[in-house]
Amino acid sequence: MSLTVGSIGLPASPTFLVGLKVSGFWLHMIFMNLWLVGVPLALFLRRTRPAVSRRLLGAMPFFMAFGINAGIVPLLFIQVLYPEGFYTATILQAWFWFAIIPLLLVAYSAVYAASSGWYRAVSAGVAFVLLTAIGLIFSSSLSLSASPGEWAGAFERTATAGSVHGTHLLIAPEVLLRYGIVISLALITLGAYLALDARWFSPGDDVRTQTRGLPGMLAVAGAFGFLVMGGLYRAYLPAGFTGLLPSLAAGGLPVLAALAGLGYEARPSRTSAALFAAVQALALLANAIVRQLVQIEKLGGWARLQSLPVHGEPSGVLLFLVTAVIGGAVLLWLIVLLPSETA
Amino acid sequence: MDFPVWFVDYLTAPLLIPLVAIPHVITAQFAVGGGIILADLVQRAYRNDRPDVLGFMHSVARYFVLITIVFGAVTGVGIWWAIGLTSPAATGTLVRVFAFFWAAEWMMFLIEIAAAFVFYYYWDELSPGSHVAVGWTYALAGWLSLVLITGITSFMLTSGAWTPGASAWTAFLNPSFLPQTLIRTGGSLAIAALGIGVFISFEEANVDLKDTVVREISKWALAGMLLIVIGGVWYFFVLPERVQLNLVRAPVLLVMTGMNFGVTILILGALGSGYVNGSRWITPPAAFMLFAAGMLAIGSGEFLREGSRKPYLIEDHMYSPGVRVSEVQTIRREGFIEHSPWLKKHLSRTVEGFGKRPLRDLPEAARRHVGKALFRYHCGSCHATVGYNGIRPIVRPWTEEMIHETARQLHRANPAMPPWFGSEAEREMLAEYLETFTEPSPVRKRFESP
Repeated sequence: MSLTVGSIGLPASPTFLVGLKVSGFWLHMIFMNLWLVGVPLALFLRRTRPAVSRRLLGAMPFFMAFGINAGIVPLLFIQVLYPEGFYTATILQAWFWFAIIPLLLVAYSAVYAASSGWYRAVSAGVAFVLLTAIGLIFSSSLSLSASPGEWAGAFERTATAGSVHGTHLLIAPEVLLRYGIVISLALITLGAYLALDARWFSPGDDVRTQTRGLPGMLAVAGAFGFLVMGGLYRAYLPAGFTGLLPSLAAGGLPVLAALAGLGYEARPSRTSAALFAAVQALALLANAIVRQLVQIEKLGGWARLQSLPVHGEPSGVLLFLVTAVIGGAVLLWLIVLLPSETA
Repeated sequence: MDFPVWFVDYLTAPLLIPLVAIPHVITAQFAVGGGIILADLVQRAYRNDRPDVLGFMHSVARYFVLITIVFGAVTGVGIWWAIGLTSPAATGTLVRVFAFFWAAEWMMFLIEIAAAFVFYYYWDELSPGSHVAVGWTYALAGWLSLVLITGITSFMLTSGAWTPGASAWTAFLNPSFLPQTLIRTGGSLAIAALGIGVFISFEEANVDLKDTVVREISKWALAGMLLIVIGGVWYFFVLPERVQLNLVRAPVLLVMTGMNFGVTILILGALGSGYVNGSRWITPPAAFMLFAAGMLAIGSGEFLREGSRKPYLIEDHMYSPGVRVSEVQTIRREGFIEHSPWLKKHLSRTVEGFGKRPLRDLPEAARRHVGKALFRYHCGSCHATVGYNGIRPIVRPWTEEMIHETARQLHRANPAMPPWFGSEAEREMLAEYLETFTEPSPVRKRFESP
């Protein structure tokens, strides 16, 4: 079954659109990592490291707001680039995909409740369970969108009179491994965040004291998990992605980030915290790029991006770029405003 | 019909859209109007040295940020979820045409979130000038996001001079864009004023505060209502004739139009009274009822806009089942099933002899199965079997001849319906399936008895 394009061409070159998609996903991953493991960790630490737990939960509403916002970008561009894959997969799993909305509403509200101290443990627990479920649904749906070979079987199993019930859910080792990779990276990201926060932003010594040891532990656990999950996931990668070089490229940076985390623990300072965060940011960017390359390869037999017609107009791109520049300037103004006017 | 169809009986899949969209539009418009009113009232409070007003607006801002950022953001994304599931072809078209407009809107959302957080969480720390500047930044970003999305949604109803290949600006600056922008801007101011009115209604002890706030929000709301009236009249005149026909022909839409009009008058009167007489009569129950009336007006307005657009998803470009206008003649010639790969694959697998002999030569049970599948693909976007716009109760008293003739002349039977897309044989399959819902009813018996 071939994928059709429809009569509307791409609004810009595929390379530009893919670049925007990857950039947006990278930003989304940073925040998503923080809430995915930050909420359960805050729950876990509430008695042993209460200052860290409270500060982490207090920051969660901001992570969720910016993370959901950043998620709009890859969501937009996957629909521009691969509508056939994205819509087909989500329709096959319609009820699960649709359920994300009420689940996210409750999870987001629970995060706010936890950050406000309202039944903190219960709220954080509810948020953790729901955010995990949402993450798994996302992993499943996006895995299915890049697996056209699965669609026919899913369709026949869940259709009546040619229309689907929307009750399919792809639960496969590949999905769980992809999710495991995300969690592993998230542990390292959280470690980097805690180091950065303790050295750069936290106002009190209690947070700095209680953070000690955590960044390194999280980084090592995350790197180990990434190597295990990534190693197992190699079996599901297309040929060309399983050689030594791609593996090193994909797996090297998280390990480097973990080493940076250990380096921070050995010599905690603003510089070592910033280095840890920078290396992990690069690791996430590398992961986002590799994910995109894998998706392009997997869908290559069905939709070759470079062969799609382009019907762009510079004014549309210009509109976005102008708003991006203005938006960047506004954000910079806000960032500069706060330290200059607050105590 | 490049995608599988998600058939949701009793409701129809597209009815899931307003379940998410109407709460979102109410919240989003509250966010836009609220941002403007918050910035203005805070500015006035600083200027007139009114710490009581500032304190009140601070408490409003807390709920404002919570509701708009949590509920508004999630339901906004939720609309995308829903339309992608129910109308993938239309959504894919809109996304490709307006990709960078949506990207620009995303940037506005980012500014809104950042500004809202700074505005609320640093309330007591920023200098008055900076605080007000941040407030107006949020307000402007909010309004610009409203403008951007209105261009996209209005395009679906009045595509104007746009054709595939034309500039996206032609699509964006369509005939109903400006009037809808006026209506939505006005609606935002009105619903935000009503929402803040609920909060202030509880300040019974502080009469001075209540009077001040009610007068100020009433001014904004009256300005909003004026925009709604101007935009509404302009809107009606730019609507295509078939849309105007839909509004007066469909009882539900006609009732909603009347409801919308009546509620608008009611709110206008209440706000005018608040502005002239002050706040004494605005008790919590009255404020809640007015706010509910405002939500009803917005909800019915959205339902009207969506319902009156039929039979199109995108005017003159795509019909409700996701079929492009430009492809109808080809589909009629080659068959609807031939152009629906998922449907074709299913029938090839489940109907013995399918594809090997003419449809009319299939056994009766197989023909009805084909008809049922065709119903779900051709009609299921607007008709459940039983439930919302249920086809069973509609055709139950019909004769076979009526079913066949109506299927042949769908767009004449009801201008809100598209023309029949498929071949003659496919139409007969659909009609045979619909005949299974008919049974002699008391009404039909009365007309058939000698």
